[in-house]
Amino acid sequence: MQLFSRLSTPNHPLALLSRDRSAVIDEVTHRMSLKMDTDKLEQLVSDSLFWERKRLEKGHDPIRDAVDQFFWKDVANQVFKTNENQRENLQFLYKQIIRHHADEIAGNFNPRVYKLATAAVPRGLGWLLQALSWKSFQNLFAEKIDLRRKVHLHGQIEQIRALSQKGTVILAPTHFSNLDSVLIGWALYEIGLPPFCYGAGLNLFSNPVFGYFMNNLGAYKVDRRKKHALYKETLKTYSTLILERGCHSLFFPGGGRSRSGALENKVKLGLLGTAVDAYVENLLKNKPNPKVYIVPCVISYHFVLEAATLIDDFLTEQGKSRYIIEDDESSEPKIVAQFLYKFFRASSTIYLNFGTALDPFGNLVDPEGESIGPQGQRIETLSFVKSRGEICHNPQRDDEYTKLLGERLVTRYHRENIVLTSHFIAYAYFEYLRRKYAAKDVFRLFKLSEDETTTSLQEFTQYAMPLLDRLHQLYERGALLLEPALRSHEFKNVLESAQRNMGVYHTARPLKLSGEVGQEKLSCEDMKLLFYYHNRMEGYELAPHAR
Amino acid sequence: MNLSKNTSAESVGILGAGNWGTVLALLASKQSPKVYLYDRDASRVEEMGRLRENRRYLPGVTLPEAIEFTSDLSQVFSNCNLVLPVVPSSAFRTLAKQYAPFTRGDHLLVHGTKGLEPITHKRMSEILTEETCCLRVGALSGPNLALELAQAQPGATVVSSRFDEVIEATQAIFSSTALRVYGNHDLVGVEWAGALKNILAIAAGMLNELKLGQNALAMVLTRGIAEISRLISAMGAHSSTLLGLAGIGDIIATCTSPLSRNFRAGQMLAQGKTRQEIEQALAMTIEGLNTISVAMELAAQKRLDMPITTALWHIAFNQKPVIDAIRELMERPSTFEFTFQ
Repeated sequence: MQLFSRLSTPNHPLALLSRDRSAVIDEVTHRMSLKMDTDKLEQLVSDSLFWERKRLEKGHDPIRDAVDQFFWKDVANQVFKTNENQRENLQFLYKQIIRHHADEIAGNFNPRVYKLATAAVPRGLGWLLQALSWKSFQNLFAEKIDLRRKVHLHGQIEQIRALSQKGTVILAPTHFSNLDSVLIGWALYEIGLPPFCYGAGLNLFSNPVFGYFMNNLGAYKVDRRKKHALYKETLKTYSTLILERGCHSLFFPGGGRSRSGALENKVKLGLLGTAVDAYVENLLKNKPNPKVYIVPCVISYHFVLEAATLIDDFLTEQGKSRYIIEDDESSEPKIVAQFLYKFFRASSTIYLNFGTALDPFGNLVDPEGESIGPQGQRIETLSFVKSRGEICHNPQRDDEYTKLLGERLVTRYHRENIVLTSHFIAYAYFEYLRRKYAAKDVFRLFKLSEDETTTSLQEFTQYAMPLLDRLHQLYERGALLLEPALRSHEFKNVLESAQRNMGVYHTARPLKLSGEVGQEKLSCEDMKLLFYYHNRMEGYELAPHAR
Repeated sequence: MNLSKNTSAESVGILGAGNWGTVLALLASKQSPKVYLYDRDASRVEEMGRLRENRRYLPGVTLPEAIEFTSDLSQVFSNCNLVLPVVPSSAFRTLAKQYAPFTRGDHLLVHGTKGLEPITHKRMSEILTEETCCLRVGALSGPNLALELAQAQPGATVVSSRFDEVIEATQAIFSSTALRVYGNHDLVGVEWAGALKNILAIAAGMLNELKLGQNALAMVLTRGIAEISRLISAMGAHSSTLLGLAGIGDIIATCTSPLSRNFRAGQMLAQGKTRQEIEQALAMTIEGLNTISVAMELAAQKRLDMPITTALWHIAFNQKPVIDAIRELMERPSTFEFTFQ
């Protein structure tokens, strides 16, 4: 409860951010005006107009769209009335557009809602459930849910606590499910950290429950349908500004949720780049605690609620262009409720691993917040932003740093990944079938009947044992982490844990174990789901023949 | 915070007083008021300072006062922002480990070493970022016969880095009326091109020794460039980098000059000498021979067709008679020069 007192002090950065909301929007507009390229003004404004009209034609959100329609209609009128010589008019329009976007992006933080939410959360996601389904909720309530038993927090928890006092923390988790943000919100509370600012997809705000919390918990809105440069720049400027104000933030650097089920193998650099911008700005302004830390975080699920939709999206060509899934399992209250119900009843565990923090240049950071060089020695963080002896912004340099940071982050995700028995068995089983049906390509493998996937446990064990040995070798080398059940050398135990947990929610099970003792058989009811869970082990080259 | 207060942006450090290192110091001394030329051997440092000449690697050329000879790495790194390690690839990591403790995040490191690390096959810039804390790293490469540059004959070179400021700093130090310094962002491509061109130098030496004529040379170089281009694209580089100074530029200089060691190694292979005999006779490791086996390994990994490299590998490592290897190359089925998509 000490936390609440820390939060309710009016000096908490999120509270200040909320109080200064309009000043922040002013500052974003001001900074963007300084960056304004007057020669490209007309093009920038017309581009924004073009893309926004295109977006609005499709129409997703009647209420918000109506407001936007009105705004852009007005912009259009003014653009048509403006000729080239009326620069001031264009400048005015430019600022109006920025302000319009900034106003949408900027979040709120309501300490009272935070208190309410966090008080409710320890009783599981019950509060959320209550809103979704009374019946399931009652069932849950009867079973006394304890999130702590279900969600295991691992890794550098002490370090994050320390760093949150020494500078600004960006938590950068992998992204598999819409539940991620809820879990992380809870985990941050659980380890005694103040709430983080969070750039959440606009579509989540339309969900009445998610939306209410997010709006009031420091979330700001990211609309990935808005693709024009002015919007993206405004978003980045906002993010930089809140980092400078000391608001710890949560980014999902992978962009959306992983479609294939694989760990992020590349990350989006836009928001990530605001780390170095904010750091330089803090140094130039001589702020106390100027440092910005990026903490990788890997979430491991035995089953992902939206797996079926995600993998379908990954597999269809159409999926590549359709970036945002509007409706999936997580927007159906009943399905979410069922999922959570099964989740809490099943013994399966979610692992959340906080990795070692990085500085904005991808260097590891020690427990005291100092950057560490390759030889393990402390290095001076600010020397990276010096050019010709002076601390300065240098967009080309800083973009390259951000690319390096992105590359390191991907490496760290793979090392900090807690591999679960279900990930390993899904991988081994899929690779086994792939080898068995070597003539078929992946898409034909999906058409295998359940009979065709059926194999004797003995044969599968023979195939998978060497893979398990190799997995243990990788673990010993520090290339990845293993959940306790997977550290066992008893293959049978590993397999049983996997089959108990893998895809518990799915109606068609990706892994089925049947038959009498000594005659056990494995089969798969849904090859796409098996493929999805298998993909989590991509990039470790566990199976030598893996293509 | 005061670590770099003595740093002058204009001072430059060159690590390694070999032939190329000494010439680079000479070139830098034309723009830079102070050039630190490092050699690990204190007595050689003393000798070069006394004679103002590098008797061993650049005899007959007077080295100006602006060059300060030193065997103190910490002195170089505390006085210079731009430092160029120019030592053979086999000694590159050892030296990097030695100066790593003196590096800071604002040092710009530009190496002038062509070739890959033995055994690991790593590029020099990878070694730099693995061993030191510097991220702003780059490579200097191109058709640079050291002696010609020392005589101020006109030429061009290329500096490659992901960071514009590394390129600009190097250009500012080395550009002169005798040397044009081009920039390039494809560091991976420039480093791979610098290593792989040695394969073609060996082939060129062989053809020269066998007096097979200019058509044969043109054929092997052109088709050799085609297969190298496939490999460097597969390594994540831009294939157009091979068309630049670090690629074709360097290939023209190396494959037409009997001064090149790899060219001479090719000549000796054609005479039927073994790899060991050649390395003994030339008293040094031949970078290109190592590169042939690296390229073979990577080609197998990436499933690329590299017939010329394969032929050279059989000659150098399997004692295949040169004439048989050439016949087999010529008997390959007819194919298209390019496949346009």
